[in-house]
Amino acid sequence: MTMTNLEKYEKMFMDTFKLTKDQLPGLKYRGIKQWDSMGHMTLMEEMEDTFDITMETPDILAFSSFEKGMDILKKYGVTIA
Amino acid sequence: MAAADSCQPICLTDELTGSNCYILSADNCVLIIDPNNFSVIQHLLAAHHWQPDLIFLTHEHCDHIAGLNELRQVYETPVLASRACSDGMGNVTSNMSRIMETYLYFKSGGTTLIHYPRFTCSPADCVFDGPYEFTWHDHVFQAIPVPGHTVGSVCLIMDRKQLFSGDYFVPGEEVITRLPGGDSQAYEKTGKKVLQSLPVPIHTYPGHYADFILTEEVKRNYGL
Repeated sequence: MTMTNLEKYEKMFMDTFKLTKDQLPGLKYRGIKQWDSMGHMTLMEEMEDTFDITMETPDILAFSSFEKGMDILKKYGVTIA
Repeated sequence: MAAADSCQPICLTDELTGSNCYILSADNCVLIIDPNNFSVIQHLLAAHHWQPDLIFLTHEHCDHIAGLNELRQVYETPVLASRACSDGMGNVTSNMSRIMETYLYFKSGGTTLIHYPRFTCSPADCVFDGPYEFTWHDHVFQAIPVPGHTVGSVCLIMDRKQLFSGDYFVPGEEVITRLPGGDSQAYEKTGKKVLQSLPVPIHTYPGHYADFILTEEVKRNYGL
């Protein structure tokens, strides 16, 4: 069964930071120990691989929360729904 | 810059990334360890009329190989590295160039955003899988794989007197295993034991910051 973009997006956060789905809403950069600068770089690489995009560095740096990331991905033609 | 003779490595530090390249000279030839910046290296070689006849890599991260492609083009110098390093430098994720702009931004404390192009390198000309010994101009080298920081990381001992430790024993820093290619389990299982077994005291030339004498106390402070 094909995963939706939302499911892929959630899975990336859950796998990268070892979280459960209910912990994702409101999640912010540096809001948890795992989402530090190193974790952020890992997450962004996963993001690029999963959606087959190449993100510009300013967008990587602006990717500051679970929700903000959804807005940023729209710029690359990825709708999280 | 340190004085040039056959036993005293010259250290060339890349201003952008802070990585160290070491130049060893003998008989008007040089061994280059971690070519970080082609222009700076070429300037030194030209000033001394030196010819590089071997390049050695401690690991595959881009700040340690950024000058490699141009060096190979200009001097056609053979490259020696671990197989994992050789494989990794051909991939923008493994060699970290993919995320280097972001890494440098964080490293600067969020003050500096500098363009850093993604790049890859062709495989090394000679690779090794386990501990590897070779001779270069009467100097004996032991290359010892140390997985953890990256899968292809290696420490290099020269004449049992000098250690080129790559991104291990970087002053003021703990072992970093969360960058691309890093493996904390491999470090705990294998890398630590290898580092613990390195002879001391030994003059150590790390991949970043200044050289120092590695002692048992330094090892203890490093968590070994």
